[in-house]
Amino acid sequence: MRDYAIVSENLTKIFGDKEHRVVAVDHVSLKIKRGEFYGLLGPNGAGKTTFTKMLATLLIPDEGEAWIDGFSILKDPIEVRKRIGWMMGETGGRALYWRLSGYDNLMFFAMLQNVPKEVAEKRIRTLLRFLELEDAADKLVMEYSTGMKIKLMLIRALLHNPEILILDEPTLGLDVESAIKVRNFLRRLADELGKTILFTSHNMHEVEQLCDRIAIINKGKIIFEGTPREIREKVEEVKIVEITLIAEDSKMAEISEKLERVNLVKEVTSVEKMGTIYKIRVSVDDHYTAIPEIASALKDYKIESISRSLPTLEEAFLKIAGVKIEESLNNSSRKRMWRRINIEHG
Amino acid sequence: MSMDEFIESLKEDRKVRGTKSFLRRVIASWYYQIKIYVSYKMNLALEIIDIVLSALIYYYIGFLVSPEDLIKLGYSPDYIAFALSGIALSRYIWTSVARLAHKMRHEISGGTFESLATVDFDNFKSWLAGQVLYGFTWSSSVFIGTLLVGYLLGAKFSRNPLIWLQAVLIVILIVAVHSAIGVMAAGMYITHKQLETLLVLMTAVIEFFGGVIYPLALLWNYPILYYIALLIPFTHGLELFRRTIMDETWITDPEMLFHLGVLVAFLPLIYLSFKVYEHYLTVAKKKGLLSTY
Repeated sequence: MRDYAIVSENLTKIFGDKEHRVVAVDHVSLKIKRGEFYGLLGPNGAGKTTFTKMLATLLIPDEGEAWIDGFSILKDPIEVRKRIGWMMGETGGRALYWRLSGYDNLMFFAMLQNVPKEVAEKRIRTLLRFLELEDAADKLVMEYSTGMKIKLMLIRALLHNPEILILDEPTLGLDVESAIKVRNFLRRLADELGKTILFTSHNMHEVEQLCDRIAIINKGKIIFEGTPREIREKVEEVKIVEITLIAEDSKMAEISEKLERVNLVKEVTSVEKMGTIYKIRVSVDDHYTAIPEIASALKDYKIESISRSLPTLEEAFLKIAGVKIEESLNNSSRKRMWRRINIEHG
Repeated sequence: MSMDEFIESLKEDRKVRGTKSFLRRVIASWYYQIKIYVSYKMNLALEIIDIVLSALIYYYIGFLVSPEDLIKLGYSPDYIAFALSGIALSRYIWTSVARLAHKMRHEISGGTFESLATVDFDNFKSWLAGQVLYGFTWSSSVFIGTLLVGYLLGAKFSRNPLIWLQAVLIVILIVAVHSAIGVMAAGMYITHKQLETLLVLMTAVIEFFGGVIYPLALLWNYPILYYIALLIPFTHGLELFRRTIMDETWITDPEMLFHLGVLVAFLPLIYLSFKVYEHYLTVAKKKGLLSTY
């Protein structure tokens, strides 16, 4: 236990009543070493936030247990809180007091966290300067942009110098430049100060770039755990071709059938309509041989483009989980996907 | 470079501990709540207008009440002093009983309650104490403002400083007892969101039975209502307060001791209230209701 900053054993959270039971986190067991930058990757609704909230003692699990720095989240929640810095990025700054200035928000939380005033003042000023919020320090938070609020929440998580940071989608809503800056900052916190960071995201490239180890969570279960290199190898196996074409809605079922008859096409992974244009994504065995075959099969339609594409997170997840889109959707829901498009737009 | 400066600032890793840390958290909750309140400038202006208007209303109603009637019911013959002391004190009741639940609504719907929960080192005791202190500060301002306007309109309150010291201690006791009800209600509010409306009603009921604008003695003719009134701590608090500032009755008076005894009997509620709050907080954490409005 001593080598690990975070340990969870069969952590489970179920919401709803007997009739509408939702297993948000399903027997998740993880061990995160001290000083490790650990990424928890998953699509929206996968259970990332619920998992981190249990670790932060904001939710009580229905089953299982977890330890933060050796302290049980069930038996010693106050000791756990003293040791963590928690931040939830996707709230759009809801977790801040909008009628207080940025500086006051930080000083209020520093006082609640028992940080001496002069120490807090020094840290707040330094971090505000580093994250380019110094000029806005005395403005009310209601005047802040989403990005500024996210940076402020990140500073708040660091004020009491916690050994462990639990950051739930901390870069969501940040512009590219700020996101890079925040990522570099977090990496340095791990490298230079030995902070343990549990970082959730649905951005695979971000997690890959930052983390020492990654777990992928889907439908409340950990479906993969490994290094960024191992995950990249898995993802590279997923080959996707994206077709953009103009077609009447009534023709879409026909197009689907033609695509599925192409030998190199494994399955249609998604269909998206944008005005009169359809964007269809298919997984294939090999890009180079599949693209001419698809072009030939769809020669009677107005094709705008056919190109190889990087897999989306969901496509990669399904590959990693070893589930075909076909199986994950099952036949009836797949048919519904096409039918819905025909009904809605037909 | 800033990062290096930050790393440098972490080296000084002192923490405030013990009672001092608890008091600091209480003060932080109180101070920043005042800052939030003051940021609503229109609200502040309306409160001041409200103080003046309510004093004026009872000033004019006072012309309809004969001094003899008040004397018959055992009070000094000054209706404006009688009504304003009730009105001023009733602000404490709303603040103590309903404001905390109202505040919980803001914290939960605003999303800040979860943030507070991540830095909660004492099961919210310091935060709640800070909020009660803030409520006391706010009500005291309204209280002093109301009595001051009443004084300018000719209300006859005692000028004895020792009597006022007794009055302040009585107010603190009243606030402590009613804040216990408020803390329990705030805890229940985390899981039962409809409770806030009920509390507004409860405050009105307390004010009605407490005799804010009429003498309690009027209820003698309605025994059921009278005995209900006696079960409510505010009734006793208001009697203690009025007898103090209007009639200069000392706490050693047997009738005053009876009212004081009843109020003191409610004090164990303070301990119970924190337990109730803790219980509902745990329920909310089990059900995932900390940020659900």
